[in-house]
Amino acid sequence: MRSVWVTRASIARAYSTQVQPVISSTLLLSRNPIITQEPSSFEKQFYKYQNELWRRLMWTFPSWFFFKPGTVAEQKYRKLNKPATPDNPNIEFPRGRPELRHNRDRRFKQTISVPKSYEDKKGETNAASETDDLARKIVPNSRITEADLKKDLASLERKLSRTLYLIIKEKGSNTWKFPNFNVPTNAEEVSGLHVVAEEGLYKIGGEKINYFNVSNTPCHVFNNLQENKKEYFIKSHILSGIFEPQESVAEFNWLSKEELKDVLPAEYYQDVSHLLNNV
Amino acid sequence: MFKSFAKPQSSSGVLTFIRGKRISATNPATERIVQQLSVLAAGRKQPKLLNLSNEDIVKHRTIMSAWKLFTRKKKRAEQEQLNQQYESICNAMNDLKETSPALFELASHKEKRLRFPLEMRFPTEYPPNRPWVYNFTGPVKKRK
Repeated sequence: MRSVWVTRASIARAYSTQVQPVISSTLLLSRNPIITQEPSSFEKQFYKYQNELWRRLMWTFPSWFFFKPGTVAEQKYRKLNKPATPDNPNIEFPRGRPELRHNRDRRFKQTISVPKSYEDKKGETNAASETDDLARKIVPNSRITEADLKKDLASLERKLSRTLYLIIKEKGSNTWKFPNFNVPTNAEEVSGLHVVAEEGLYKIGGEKINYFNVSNTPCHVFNNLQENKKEYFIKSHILSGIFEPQESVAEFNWLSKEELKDVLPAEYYQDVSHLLNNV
Repeated sequence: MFKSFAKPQSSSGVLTFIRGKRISATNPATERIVQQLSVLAAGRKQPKLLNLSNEDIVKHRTIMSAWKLFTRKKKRAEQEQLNQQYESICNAMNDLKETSPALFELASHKEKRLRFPLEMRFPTEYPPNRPWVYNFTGPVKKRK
């Protein structure tokens, strides 16, 4: 990698301006997805097709092994799974004769219903028993959270299947941007770009943030010609905790890539779009 | 299911029939093994072969090639984005070397004790009961 940097030094020189630019570090703080990606309609259809093929080609379920003959469990199983229509030579079957093996028609997929492990309590909603009872029906949590319904853009619980990025609006400013911090020039000891970004994050968002800095190395440079500024991007992930906006921050949002496109200035977004995750 | 009907027993030379009584041909241990093997074996459990018509074969091939195209496009886009990201890292580091050699040194320095955080979650199909942990009290010690 070092050799690559050396060879491209001449290209980088083109950016330098007459007045020494201000060096600053921009923080790309992301919240990684908590749930899996939403499949597209084509993916859904393809998975359904594959699933149906797989079920059609599956072997017959050996019920005699899992439900011992002569037990109550087997009786319940038999009640739920009625035997298929047998092949009767005296009956005409216009759509083909059934081929029964082990109570399964070989021509089709086998659908099995298994006795429920819980009791259906309709109308009875006892909150205490519902949470503690081991035999309760397992209901997964909704993929859409309250924050999604409220359209709360500042919540970390919104859009669980997407990567969200922190953007802020500073006091007195009217544009959204990624948090940006100038590197102190008159300090005795030089602190790295990542340290500036980390300390800046605590200054704008309080100290109750658990984050993971991906690397010391900046992942991008944006030449802000209007302010004569060089913005180096530092990537970081928020793991837990809460972003509490301090005095300098007027507003903050957690947005996905598509939403950032509408909010950020077009030229700026164009320059950084490849850093943002599509998922 | 796999028990055979009673065979005439001739232990003492005299055949004894018991009407309607099933007696296994083998001892119970062997019988259990036979039953377990019957679960694994293909006998009478295989479905009918898929016999697609010409039209269905064409449909199937179309679906599979569409899927291939879809995944290929997705992978290509991902790879392109990765290339762009690598390019921009190189670009940024070259630029930094020009503007501030001291910062370049700090940026290219690798932290040896840096570990991957255990708190990072792998995405699951459904969210946990509390999707986000808010009660983080603060850093134990600041990294340098």
